[in-house]
Amino acid sequence: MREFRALHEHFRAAGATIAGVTTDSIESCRDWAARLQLPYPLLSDERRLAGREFHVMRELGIGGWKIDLFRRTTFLADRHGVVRAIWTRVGVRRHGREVLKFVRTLEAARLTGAMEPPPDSPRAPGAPSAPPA
Amino acid sequence: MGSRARPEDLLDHELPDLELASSDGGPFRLRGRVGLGPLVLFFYLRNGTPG
Repeated sequence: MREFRALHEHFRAAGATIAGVTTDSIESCRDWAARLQLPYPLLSDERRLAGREFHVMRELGIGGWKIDLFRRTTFLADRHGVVRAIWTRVGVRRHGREVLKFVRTLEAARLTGAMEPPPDSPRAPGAPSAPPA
Repeated sequence: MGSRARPEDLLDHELPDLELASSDGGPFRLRGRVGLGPLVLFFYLRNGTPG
């Protein structure tokens, strides 16, 4: 979250929009976005609609309680709204840079008229089909 | 028994057409950026968690 904030200008320069999604309430999202002075929005998915559509739900058992949360997962959609990359192993550090690199690759491929990113670029980092980093 | 759906199943598919409440005020439509630029959508645990 903080790394996306630090790199936000670079994402914007590449034409990309960033948004975070959580199960927290919209009030909590407003408070947290203001507290961290985030230059991008936080989206509230209290009903878990997006969580189910994107298959990122997980259930945690704590004592006798069970809560459902999101797995840390990042999706990148191209300007046509098609998902082009998915990161399922999201670390706190360097993740923003990895995503920015792919955004730039995606946009460069578009500007040069290529239909797909170059073969040496990560296609779906963290996915079983991903090439080794 | 069917296989469990995974995030990777969305690869090369269109974003789900959903609207979520945004901290910026008003709804945020996931497909609202279509035609304008890429969209990075990151799912995280809770507000206040590391990251």
